[in-house]
Amino acid sequence: MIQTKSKSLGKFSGLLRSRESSLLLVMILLVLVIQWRSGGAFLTKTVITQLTQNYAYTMVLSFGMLLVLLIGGIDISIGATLALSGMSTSLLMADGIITNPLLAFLFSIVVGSICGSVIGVTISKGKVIPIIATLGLQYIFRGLTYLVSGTKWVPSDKMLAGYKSFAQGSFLGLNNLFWIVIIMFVAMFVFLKWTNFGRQIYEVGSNPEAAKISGIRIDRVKIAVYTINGAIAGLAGAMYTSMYATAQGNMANGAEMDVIAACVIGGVSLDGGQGSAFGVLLGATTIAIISKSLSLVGIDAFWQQALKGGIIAVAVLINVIVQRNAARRALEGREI
Amino acid sequence: MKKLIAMLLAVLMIVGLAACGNGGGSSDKPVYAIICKDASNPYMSRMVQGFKEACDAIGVTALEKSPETTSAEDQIAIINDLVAQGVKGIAIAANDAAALEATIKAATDKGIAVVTLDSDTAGSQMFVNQAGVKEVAQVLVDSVMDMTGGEGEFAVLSASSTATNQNAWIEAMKAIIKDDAKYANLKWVETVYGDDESQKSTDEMQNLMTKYPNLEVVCCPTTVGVLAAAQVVANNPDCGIKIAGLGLPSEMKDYVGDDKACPYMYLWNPIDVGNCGAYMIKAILDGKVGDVGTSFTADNNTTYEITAGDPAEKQIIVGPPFKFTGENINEWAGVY
Amino acid sequence: MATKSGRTISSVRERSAKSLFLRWEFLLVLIFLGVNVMNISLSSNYLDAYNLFTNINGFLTKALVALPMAYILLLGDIDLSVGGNICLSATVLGIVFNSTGNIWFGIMAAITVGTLCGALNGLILTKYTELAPMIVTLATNIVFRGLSERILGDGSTGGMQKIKWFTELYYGRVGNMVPYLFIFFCVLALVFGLVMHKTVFGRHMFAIGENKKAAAYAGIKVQKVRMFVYTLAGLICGITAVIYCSWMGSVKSNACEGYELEAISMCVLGGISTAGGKGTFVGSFIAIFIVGLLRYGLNLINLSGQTIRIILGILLIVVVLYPTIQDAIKNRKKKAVK
Repeated sequence: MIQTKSKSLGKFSGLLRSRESSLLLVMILLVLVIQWRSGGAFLTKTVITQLTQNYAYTMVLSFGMLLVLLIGGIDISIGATLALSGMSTSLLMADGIITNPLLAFLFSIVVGSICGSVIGVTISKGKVIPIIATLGLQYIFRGLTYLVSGTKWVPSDKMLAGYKSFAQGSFLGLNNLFWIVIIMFVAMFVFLKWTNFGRQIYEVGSNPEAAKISGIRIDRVKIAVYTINGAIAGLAGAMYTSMYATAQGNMANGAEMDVIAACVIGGVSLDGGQGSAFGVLLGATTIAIISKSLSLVGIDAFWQQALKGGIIAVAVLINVIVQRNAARRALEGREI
Repeated sequence: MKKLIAMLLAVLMIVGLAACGNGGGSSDKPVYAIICKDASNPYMSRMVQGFKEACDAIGVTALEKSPETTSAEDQIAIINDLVAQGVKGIAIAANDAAALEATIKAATDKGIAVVTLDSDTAGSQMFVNQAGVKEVAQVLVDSVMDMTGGEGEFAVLSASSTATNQNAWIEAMKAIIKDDAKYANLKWVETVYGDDESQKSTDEMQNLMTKYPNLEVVCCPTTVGVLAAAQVVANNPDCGIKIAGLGLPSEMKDYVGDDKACPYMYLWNPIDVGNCGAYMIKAILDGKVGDVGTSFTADNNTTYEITAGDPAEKQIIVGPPFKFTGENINEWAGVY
Repeated sequence: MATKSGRTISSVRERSAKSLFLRWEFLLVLIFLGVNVMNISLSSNYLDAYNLFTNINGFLTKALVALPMAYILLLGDIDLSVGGNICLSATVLGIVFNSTGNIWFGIMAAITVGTLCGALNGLILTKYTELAPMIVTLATNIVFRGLSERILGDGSTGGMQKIKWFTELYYGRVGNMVPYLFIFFCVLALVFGLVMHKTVFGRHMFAIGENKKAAAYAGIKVQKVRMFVYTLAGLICGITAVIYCSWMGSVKSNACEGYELEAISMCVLGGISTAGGKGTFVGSFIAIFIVGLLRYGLNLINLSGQTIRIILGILLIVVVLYPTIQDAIKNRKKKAVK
C-alpha cells in the first residue's frame, strides 16, 4: 500500500525515499571503503565471482525467509533443514540410488518442502508461535541429520561428478549458482508483485484480521509459505553440498541468523507485511560483502566478529534514521 | 476428564520413552565410557570405534557419550552423569584445557580412572597423546618447507580460535621456525580461522590467494579446513598453491596425490588412539602405571613409556603422524 | 494460548478446584513428576541427593538467565544477546583479576560490564522503538562475543580456581549437601516471581506485553520499564558470569554459546508466551527443572547428545501444542452438546 502511494509522488522523490535507496547508499559506501582499504583488490572479477558463488546459498535462503517474515512469522530452523536435505541427498548419492544431478536437486527440494510443511502445519493448525515451533523443529531436524548420517561425512568422491561440477560451472560468464539466485529473485519479484497469492501474503502479514474477513484462508497461506521456504532451504542444501563437495552434519549451523539479518537490513519488518524482493537482494548482498571482505581488507582475525556485529547494527540503525527523516520530510511537505 | 487423559498420555509418553531407551547395558560387566568433543566429526567416530574394539577385547562394556555442543559445560554434565552411574573408567577428548579439572578430580576421588585422549585437560591421570605436539608441528613445518622448495610465502588456515589442539600446534610451529636457521627463508604471512565451516574456510582460503599473489603453500592443521582449502585449489588448477596439513584419508581421497592440490598430508590413526585409551584405563585400574620416566606393558602387549605431560602429569604417545601420499591414499580411504 | 486475545490482564484468578486441574502449571507438575518417575525407574543412583544436586547445579547457570528472560518475553520482547553478554563479562572478570590480582575487582568489573551491556540493548531499543529487539540483540550478541574474542585472541583467561572461597560460590554446599548456588537461585526466583505477580511493576509488565500502546495511554512508562528490564537482564548476566568463572575457572571466547535459546525454551515451556503479556513465574520455575532433569535422565540411559536434542525438541512442541489440542477437544464437546 505504502509503495503505491510513494510511486504517485513522482519517480525521483519516491526513489529517494524508498527503503531500498537508503540501503543502496549504505552498500555503495561500504564497497567504496572496502575497495579503498583493500588496495583495489575487492572489485575484481575473481573476488566478485567468488562472492557470488560462495554466498549464493545464503542469498537464496533470504528469499524464502522474506516470505516467512512477510506473513509475520520467522523460521530459525532453515540451517537445520538445509543440513537434513543436503545430507540425505548426498547419502543417497553415495549409495548409488540417485544417479542424476537434476534428480539430486529435486530430491533435496522435496525433503526440504516436507520439513517446511511440518513447520507450516505446526504453526497454522497447532497455533504454536513461529519462533518456538522452529526452535523445537530445529533441534529435531539437526538431530535427524546426525542420525541418518551416523555422524559421518559424505566425501567428494562419493558424489556425482555432474553434481559437483554444476556449482563450479558457469553460463554466459556467470556462475551457475548465481543464476539460481537471479532466477529466484525474478520469480520472487513477479510472484510478490503481480500474483494474487503474492498480494495475499502481504495482506496476511499486515492485517490478519482484515485478511480473514476478506476471505483469505490464512492457514493455507501460512502452510504454503512455510512449505515454499522449506523447499528453498532444500534447494540451498543441494547448492551447499554441490558447492563444497562435502556433506557434514553441522553444515550451515547458525545460517538462519545471517539470513534474518540480511532480510532486516533489506528493509523487511519482523512484524510482517513489509519488505520487497529487491530489498532482500540488497540486504543479502550487503551481508555477503561484509562477510567476504572483512578478512580481505586485512582486519585482524580477532576483530572480525565484533566488527561484523557492529556493521549489522549500524546498517539497521542508519535504515531507521533515514526512514525517520523521510517520514518527517513527508509530513512537512503535507503541511505546506 | 478428557483433558486429564491427555495429560496422563503425555506423562505416559515420557515414561514409555524411558522404557524403550533402557534396552541395553544392563549386564554386570564393568563399564568404560568415552566422551567425544562433539557428534559432528567422523574423526571422533573412528576414535570411538577403536575404543569399543578394545573394550570388547578387554571384556568390559563400552559406552559412547557425545555432548550436544562443543562446550566444556556439556562435558562436565556428562562426567557427572557417568559418576552417578558408577562407571569404572572414563576416556575424554576435552573441549577445554582447564575447565574440567574440578569435575575430573571429583571422579578420580571416587576411584574412577580418567584418561584424556586427543585433547588434554588438567586433572587427567594420563594423556593418550595421538602424536606429540612437537612432532606434529615438525611434520607440518617440514611439509611446508618441502612444498615451497625451501623458501617462499605460506599461510596457516586453522579451525576456530578456541580450538586447543590447533592452537598448540601453531604455537609449536612458530617456535620451530624461529629456532632453526634452515627455515629462515620461509615467510609466514598470516594465520586465518575457518571456524571448521565450509563456507568460512573457503572464503578465507580464497582471500589468502587474493591477498598474497606469491603464496606457495597453505598449511591446514584441521580436517575441515584442509578439505575446503584443497577443494578451492582443485577448482583453480592454475593457482600453483599446494596444500599441506592434517586430513582424513576417506574425505581427502579426491585431493591427495603428486599432481593434485595436496601432494601428501599427515594424520595418525584415530582408531589406534581410541584403542589405546581403553587399555590405559585398564592399566591405571590395575595399578600398572608408575612414575614419569618408567615404562609398562599394557594388556595389548605394547610397552609404553611414561613421559611428563602438560597439563596432565603423565602422558604416553601413540605413535608418529602417518604420511598419506597418492600411493597409499586409496588403501587408507577405506579404513578411516 | 498462542494468540494474544482471549485472556485478560486481570490479576485475580479463578480459584476453583477444576481450574486448578486445567491450568498449565498442573500439566507441568505432572510432566515434572513423570520425568522424576522415569529417572528413578532408570537408575538406582538418581535418588542419590548429592549426585542430584551436582547435576542440578550444572544447569542452574542457564536457569539464572531464564529468570530475566521471562520478564523480557513477558514484555513481548526477546534478548538473544545473553550468551555473548555472559561471555564478555566473564572474560573481563578473568582479565581484571589477572592484571590486578584482586578477585573483588574482577567480580565488580564483570557485573558492571554485564549491566552496561544490558543497558546498551535497552538504550538502543528504547531510543529507536521501531527496531525489532530480535535483530538488535542478535547484532549485539555478535559484538559482545566478538569483543571477547578480540580480548582473548586464541587463548583463554583463568586462574580463578586458585582462590578457594571464589570456587566455593559454585561448588560450596550447606551441610555438604545443598549447594549455595541452589539456595541463591531459589531465593532469586522467589523475588522475581513475587515482583512479577504481586507488585505494580509486575502488572505494568503484563499490561505492556498485552498491548504497548494501550499501556502507554494508561500512563505506564513503557520505555522506562523496558529499559529497566533489559538492564536487569544485563545485571543477571554479569552475576551468571561470576558463577560461570567460579565453576569453570577459565574462560574462552566460545563460553555460554546458545544460552539464549536454552533460556527462551525454558520460559516458553513454562507457559510464557513470546508474544508477550502472558505467563506465570511458577511455570517457568518448574519448566527449568523439567528440562534439566529430563536431560539428566536421558543422559543416564546414555542416549547421544543429538538424540537428546530431538527429544527436547519434541517435548517443546508437544507441550506448546497442548492448549490447541485442549481447545479442539473443548470445541468438539460444545458441538456434541448442541
